[in-house]
Amino acid sequence: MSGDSEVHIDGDDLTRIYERFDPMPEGLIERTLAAARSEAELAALDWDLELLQLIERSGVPAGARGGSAAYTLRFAYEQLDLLVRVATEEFPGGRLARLDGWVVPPTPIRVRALTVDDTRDSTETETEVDSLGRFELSGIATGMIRLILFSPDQHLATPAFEI
Amino acid sequence: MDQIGHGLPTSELWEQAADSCTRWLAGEDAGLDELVALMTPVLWHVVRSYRLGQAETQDVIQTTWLALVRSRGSIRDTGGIGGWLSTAARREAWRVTRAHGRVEPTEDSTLALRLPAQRSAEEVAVGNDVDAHIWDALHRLDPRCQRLLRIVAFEHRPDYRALADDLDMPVGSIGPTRGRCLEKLKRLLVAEGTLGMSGQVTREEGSGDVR
Repeated sequence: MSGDSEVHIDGDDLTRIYERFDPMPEGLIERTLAAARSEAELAALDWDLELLQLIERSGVPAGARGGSAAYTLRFAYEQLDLLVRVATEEFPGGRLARLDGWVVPPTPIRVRALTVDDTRDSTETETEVDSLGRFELSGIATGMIRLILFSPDQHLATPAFEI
Repeated sequence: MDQIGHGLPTSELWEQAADSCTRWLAGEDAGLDELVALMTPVLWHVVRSYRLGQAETQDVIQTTWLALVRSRGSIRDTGGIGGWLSTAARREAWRVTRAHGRVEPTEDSTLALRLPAQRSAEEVAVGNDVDAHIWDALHRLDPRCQRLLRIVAFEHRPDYRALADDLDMPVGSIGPTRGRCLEKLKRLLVAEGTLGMSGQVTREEGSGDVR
């Protein structure tokens, strides 16, 4: 039988307890690495990208649940708002994502989806924002992507997000 | 790779981070990878202390790293990289908390983890999982204590000035406040019988120890 053991709660105990009861999610380092690397690569391209800020998210990435639920993200940079609805669809070859976007105010922008994780071949898909500010990108492999927005007067990039 | 950063004394972690950062700035891409692997676990705990949900916490962490990569050209002191990252993450966490206009978490996996509180006093007294009781008691501290204890548990020689600004308290009171928070935690544990009056774990003879 063990006797009483002295307990001094100190910083090391707390460190251990936080790590045990609220550990970081699996894959966080890998996802963070992918995002940081993509930022370093974009920086090297000298596109002079400003970063859109994620303002709001609702729902969860469908990929995480294996369902077909859609989720939405809202980004902003100064006066420009970007809404993105992400949905995934099952195809015989696997699951693909579709993005429906809305830019406010409507601006002639070329939108490029950039895959950022190492698990897929790097692919790029492009489209144009229409006169109402809408755009769609379909048939994108699920995983992490960033959207790059080329407008006449500025270039913007979203943080990486999961589709 | 997930294990890097765990089990290292904090001072060593901070030194390795400084070294990785220096190599990254010298043009070695692997330096950035190492820095991310070393410091992301620390940032997780720092940001979670703001009681943001898991998804929001991950967003804050990504924003912090993107900001670092974008400010690459202006980093002068790689020795302070750990503190820079932690401070940037705290400020972004605070900004997100305010933007959402709330203090309480929406999502909460921690609720599920608080189950030990529902046990009876006897079960608590004989329970061997002292850490689970401490984790539970931590949630009964006021939000400022919760945040302070968690941040300090993961920072190496925290930048007390930046931390004091962020926690809205005088710089000289961080240490004493932390001491009082630890005392409150111990009192909660004594009151529920996890710790004896002397601060010792209470266990009864033959009381279901794991054999």
